[in-house]
Amino acid sequence: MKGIEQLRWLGGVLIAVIMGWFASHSHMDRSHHDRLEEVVNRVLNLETGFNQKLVLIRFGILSHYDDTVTYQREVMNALQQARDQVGFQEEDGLGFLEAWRALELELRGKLDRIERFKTGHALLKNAMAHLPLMIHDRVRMIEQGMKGELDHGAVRELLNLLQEMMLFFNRHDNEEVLRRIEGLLANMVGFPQFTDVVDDVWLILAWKPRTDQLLDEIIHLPMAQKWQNLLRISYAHYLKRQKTALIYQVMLLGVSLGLLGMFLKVLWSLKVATTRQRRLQQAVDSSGDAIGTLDPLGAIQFINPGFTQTTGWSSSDVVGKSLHEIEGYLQESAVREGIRQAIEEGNSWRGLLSVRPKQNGSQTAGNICWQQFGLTPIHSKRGRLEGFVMLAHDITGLKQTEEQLVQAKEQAENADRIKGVINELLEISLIAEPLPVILHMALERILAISWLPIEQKGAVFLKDPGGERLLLSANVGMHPELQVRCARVAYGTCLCGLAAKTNETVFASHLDERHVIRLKDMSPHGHVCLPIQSGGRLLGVLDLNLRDGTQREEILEDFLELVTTTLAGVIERKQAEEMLQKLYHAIEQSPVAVVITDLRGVIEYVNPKFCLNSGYSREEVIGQHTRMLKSGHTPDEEYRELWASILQGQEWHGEFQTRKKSGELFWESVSISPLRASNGVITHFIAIKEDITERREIDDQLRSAKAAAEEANRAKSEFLANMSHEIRTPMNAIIGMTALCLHTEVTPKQENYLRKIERAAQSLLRILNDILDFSKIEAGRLEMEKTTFRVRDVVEHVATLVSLPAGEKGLAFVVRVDSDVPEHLIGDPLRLGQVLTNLASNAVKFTSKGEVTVVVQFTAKRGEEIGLRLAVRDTGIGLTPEQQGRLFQSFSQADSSTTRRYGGTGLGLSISKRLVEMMQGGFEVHSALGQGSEFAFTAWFALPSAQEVAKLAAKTLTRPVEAYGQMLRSVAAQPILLVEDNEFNQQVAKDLLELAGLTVRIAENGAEAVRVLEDGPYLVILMDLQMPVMDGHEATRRIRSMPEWQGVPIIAMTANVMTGEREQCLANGMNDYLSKPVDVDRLFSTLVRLLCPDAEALLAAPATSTPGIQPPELRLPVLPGMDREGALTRLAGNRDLYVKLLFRFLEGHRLSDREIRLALERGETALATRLLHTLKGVAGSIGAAVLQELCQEMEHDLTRGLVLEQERLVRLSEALRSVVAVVEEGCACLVRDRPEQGTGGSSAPKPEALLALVEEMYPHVQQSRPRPCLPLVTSMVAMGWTGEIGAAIGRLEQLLRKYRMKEAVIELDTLKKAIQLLI
Amino acid sequence: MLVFWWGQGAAWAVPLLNEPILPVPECRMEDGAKVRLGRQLFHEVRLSANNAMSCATCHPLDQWGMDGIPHSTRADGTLNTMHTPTVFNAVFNLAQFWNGRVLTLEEQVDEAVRVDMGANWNEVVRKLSQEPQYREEFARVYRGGIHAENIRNAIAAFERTLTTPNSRFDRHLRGDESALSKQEKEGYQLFKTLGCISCHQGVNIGGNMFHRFGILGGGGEEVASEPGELDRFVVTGVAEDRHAFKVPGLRNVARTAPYFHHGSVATLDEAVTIMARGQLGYTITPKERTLLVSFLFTLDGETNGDCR
Repeated sequence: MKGIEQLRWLGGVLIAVIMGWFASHSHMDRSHHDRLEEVVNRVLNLETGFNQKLVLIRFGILSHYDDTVTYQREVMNALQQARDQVGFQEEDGLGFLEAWRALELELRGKLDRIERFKTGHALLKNAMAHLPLMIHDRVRMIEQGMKGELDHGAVRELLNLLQEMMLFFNRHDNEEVLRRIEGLLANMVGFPQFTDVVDDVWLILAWKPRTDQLLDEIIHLPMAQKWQNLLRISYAHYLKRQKTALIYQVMLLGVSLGLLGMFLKVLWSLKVATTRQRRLQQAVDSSGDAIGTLDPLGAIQFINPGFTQTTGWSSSDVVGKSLHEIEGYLQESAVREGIRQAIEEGNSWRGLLSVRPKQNGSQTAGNICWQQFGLTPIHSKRGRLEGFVMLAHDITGLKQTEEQLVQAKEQAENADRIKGVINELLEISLIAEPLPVILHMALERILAISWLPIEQKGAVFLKDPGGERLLLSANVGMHPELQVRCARVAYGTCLCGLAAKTNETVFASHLDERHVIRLKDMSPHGHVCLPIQSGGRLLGVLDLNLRDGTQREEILEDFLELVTTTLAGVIERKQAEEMLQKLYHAIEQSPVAVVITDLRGVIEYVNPKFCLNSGYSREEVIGQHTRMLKSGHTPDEEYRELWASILQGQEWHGEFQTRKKSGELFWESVSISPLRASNGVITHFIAIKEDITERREIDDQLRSAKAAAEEANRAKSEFLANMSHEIRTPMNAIIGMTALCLHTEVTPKQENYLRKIERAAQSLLRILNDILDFSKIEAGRLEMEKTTFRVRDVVEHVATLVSLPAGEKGLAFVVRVDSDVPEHLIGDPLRLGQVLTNLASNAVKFTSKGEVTVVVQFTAKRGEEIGLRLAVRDTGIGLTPEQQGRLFQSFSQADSSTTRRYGGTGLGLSISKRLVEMMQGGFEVHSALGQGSEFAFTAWFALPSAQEVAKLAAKTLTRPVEAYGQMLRSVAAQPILLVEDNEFNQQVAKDLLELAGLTVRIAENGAEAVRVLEDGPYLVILMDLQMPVMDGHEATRRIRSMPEWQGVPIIAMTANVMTGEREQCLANGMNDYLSKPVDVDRLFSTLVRLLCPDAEALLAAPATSTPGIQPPELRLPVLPGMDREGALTRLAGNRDLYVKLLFRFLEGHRLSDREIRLALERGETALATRLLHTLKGVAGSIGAAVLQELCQEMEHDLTRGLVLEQERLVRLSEALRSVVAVVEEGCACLVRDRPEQGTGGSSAPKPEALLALVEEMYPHVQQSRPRPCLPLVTSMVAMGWTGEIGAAIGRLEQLLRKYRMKEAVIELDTLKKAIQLLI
Repeated sequence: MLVFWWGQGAAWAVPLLNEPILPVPECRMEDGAKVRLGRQLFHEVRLSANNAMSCATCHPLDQWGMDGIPHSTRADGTLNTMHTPTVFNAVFNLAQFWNGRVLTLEEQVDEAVRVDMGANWNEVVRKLSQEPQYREEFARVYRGGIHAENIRNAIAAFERTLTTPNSRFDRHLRGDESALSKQEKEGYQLFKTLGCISCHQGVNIGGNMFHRFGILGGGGEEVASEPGELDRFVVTGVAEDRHAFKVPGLRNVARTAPYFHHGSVATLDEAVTIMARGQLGYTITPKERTLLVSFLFTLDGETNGDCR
């Protein structure tokens, strides 16, 4: 058997080896041959082409050898590739390698020949090239009569013959030619002149045949044959291999099939055997019985898992041992003997075993188990004993069941009794009585149980919901005194308290020390107190009196626990019922309406209040959808929102109108919330609704009352605003007149009075301003400006205002601006200054010695905004906390005594606070009485862009008019036409333009402008829009209609700043637009842009102040109430011009109000409008802002066709008069202060004379001739000018003496303009 | 139509045809990664036994590819018996070394590393393998990683890019009329008529053939051959190859002094004179020499010949 098996294996291995052999030989790869074929084909092509190239080279057609290099490279490459194919042919016996080596040798020979050919050919080519040249050279020498005894003619012929023969000489020429050449050479040998020719020819003769021979050899080398030979061998080899491979393939197939058949058969029988084995194994393994095999001597060979399960011994414990050696397995001696005998005799044995399983086995540890045991001998086919099979069936379970049956019968009887009690208790709980009654009945039933060792006494306590106490709820047989004393039992007191505290049953067989609550003469008894609990929560305690001396075992504790559990259920249900009842009543009797709906909104419950409110009965609404209550006035969206909200589980609150049954509507405040079941799922919605119709009515009333109050307050504020305005006008007069009066001759006493009046008036004015601001704030009319400003300017302005009074009081005034405070900000500098001034002047006011400090700090950055903290500190009287509290109330000061001592309205801080709030900031005050105060506030500002800063800088740094003059110089030859009806405005524009060196022609109105244009070319037309006779628009249209005036630039100038004006101007053909009062910078930059675009770039450069050109400080009139500085800025700081304008104003407009009134009375509205317009412009120019504003409003109303009321005209008159008064007063001072400027002074030098001298000096200065200038300037000095002109003359003289002629020209210009202003 | 033709015709550059000298191709395509690796290896001192010498030591690329001295020093301190030629345009040569003993640049690298740099390849491979960057690069570019054959191939690939196109003379060949001055054009003409062109032709103006030094007398004796001179005879064993060498290419010749296989001639003037007498049997006049030299100066190309 075994031999056959081995033979089979050997056969398999043999077959595999044979197959491997076949497989390795059946492989057939053509690619080597294919590649070789490809290489050979390539080389053959290459060879053909290359041979042609060589011929071309030989005959000088191809003049370089690069192709030979290419050939060499490619052919060597091909050779290598062919060699790489050798791999499989090495042992072929067909001579491939020999053929390849022969080829290589041949190829190397060829390459070598090529190299030699090239060398020779180069030499030959060179020699051939030289020969004609040499011969030509010699022939020339001969012709030039060379010395020597040569027969010239013969030699020349000889040479020519030689050349001819050499050049057409080739390999195939016969010996004859060669001989002749040699003959010719021999003739020449005698002549040294021909040595090199002879050498050359000999060279050719030597190299030519050799080179040609090489070429011939190369071309005829059998290269192709060698290559093809290689290919042929390869192919033969390929064929041979193919044949062999085929044979092997067939053999391989046969062997493979045989092997496959064998393999399948083996596989099948293996599968059958394995399956059978596996099934058997599974049966044994899965059997619950203990199965094992023994060898013939009785040693255990194998046990199944069942054996281990039932007995606890594992394979490792028992395998190899006999059954007798297993301790505790064969216990009875009869059994042991029987089995031993059976094994010895080879018989079977059957019987019952009591087995003690292995001690450390977990499942049956220690318990005896019973087995039905069988031992059966196994014999081989030949009848030899091979061993035993043992099989043991466990019958322990059967034995145990028998015992249990007996016990079960006893228990069943007890259970019936218990069931009866519990059922009765449950029945009691269903009686509709209050909880104490139920408990009493239950207690009676429990005490009636005869099979417990209890007395007929007991009690039920319930937990006090308000604390850790038990309340006596029911009792049976309790002594009345005990009832009182046990009405409330604290946890831990007495037995019941202990049970409550520990949540465990307390048992006492006698009266012991734990029994705290006792009566005198108590009969001896025991107690069992059981906690009544539900889910670990204590509900109460059941207390039963026991017969004295009862043992714990007797009381059937399990049963009593069952009883308490039942009681717990009863109590809980009863309590829940009562709670439910309470809640029901709460909803039923609720003062608000309650509606419960299902998830769709269908009403399931409503309370009586709802019925009362809506008029529906309960039956009418239940089952209906809530939409029946809709009023139709609430938007659907709100409902959608409501549903979305509550369906998401959120509460919803709102108000809406509901329709009553009667159709009447009423307002309800509604809260709807989802009701969730205990698992969190929304099951219902509950709506709580309150009738708020009444409340809403009250709200409405309140609102309208509030609106009325606000309206009244606003009216008050407006009234205040008007009032203060009305007061201001006369105040101007008082202040102005006082100032006037102060300038007249007054006695010291009078001056003292006047000063006091002035101060009083000023403070009155301040109060007025405060009231005005306050009323504006109250009326909500105060608006914060948003402009770019310099923080330093604001602070400096405050310092200027406050440092003077501070100085008067001897206080130090310190300003500190931190370096991290940005230089420029966007905000309202005026209001910021106002707050700061207010704080600072307060500080000065309330400080008698020490110092006042203003500190500006950077605090924070919030996005694009900057926060500043501005603080004013003083060392003054300070404030009490109560005073601080009242500080910011309107009309309040620290206390009334302060008012008496320091004056003031008490509005300042209140206004400041409001202003600071408008700057998004807040106030803080730190102060202590007598120790000074710090008032600080924060404010937020935007940061300006670089562009805005530049704009501000451009605005602040006014470009001197002269600078524009230089830019416009190139075009200054032609005059400018100014079309303007108002004399005042004419003056302003003319003077400004002339200051820049431009000539100005004036036309009174449009018609005149059209006429004047005929006279000659104008550079530009400055066109006022509102004029009598013909207005600016019409004039422009006329001008543009004439072809010759198409191109002249027209700039509109108007005080109308209404939107649309600009567009209309441009539509009419004007080039640009300026608003009045004219801003000098804008005027000139517009001119530069229109007239000299080249100079426009200069405009972009920042304006720099040019020192030395500006006239010296000229004292200006004090003009209270007027914006003198603003006006001056618009005039490029030209103070002289400003003064002149003031005089013009007095002359031309003193009575403008009457003219306007007259025009209105006559119904000439257009005239009145124009007059108002003019007055507005003039007022703006001199800085009379109030007047300007008034005029603008009135003009605006007139153009809209409104009738002006008499009062407004009166206001206009008053404003005008006040301005006239102020200006008159200011100018009067001016006349008094500067007598040299006076018009009528006889001693004053004549401007005309000075002008003549200036004119005379001009050409000299311009041509840089200082000498003639000096006497002239001496004359000027001698004229005795003082003031500005005097200073200018002085500077001119200095410049001339230093020969600084260019600067002198500028100075002269300045002087000339100053004089012209005077004339 | 005629106007159009004239207008266009003026701008056309018409290449010169059938000239024995060919312009250097504008660019040569090679595997970029290999070339980069080859460039690094070209400058790699670990190729030498003493870790101090790289290819660039004798062939500095910023000095026209050669060291400018008659004989370079080997890694072992001995002097090379032959003058070091430039590495530029070596790709055009039919074989490498003066006697052409190897055909390919790879073989040249092999010999230079073993003989001149005194290294052995196993050692070189071991040294380079210690460098992670090389391991990475080789693994990326070559299948076999760091291996002598691959190192040689990379360096050769790099050297194949070292051509010098766009010389003034090449522009002349491509039809740029203004590329050469009148004198230079005359020089070229003389180069052809004297017969220099017989050997110095093709792309590299030489480099594609062998020739005996001083075949027409003079050169051989005047500039005596030195001991250890490796002439063509060493390779072929044929007597007539004694004193025969590869004809050197004349590209950038004005920049690659000293001259000849022994490098003992320092100036171009002298070299031209010796060549004329030795190879052409002709004594040139100073004027002719000036013309020839001025032509040779037009052969300077641009040394960034690889396609970067």
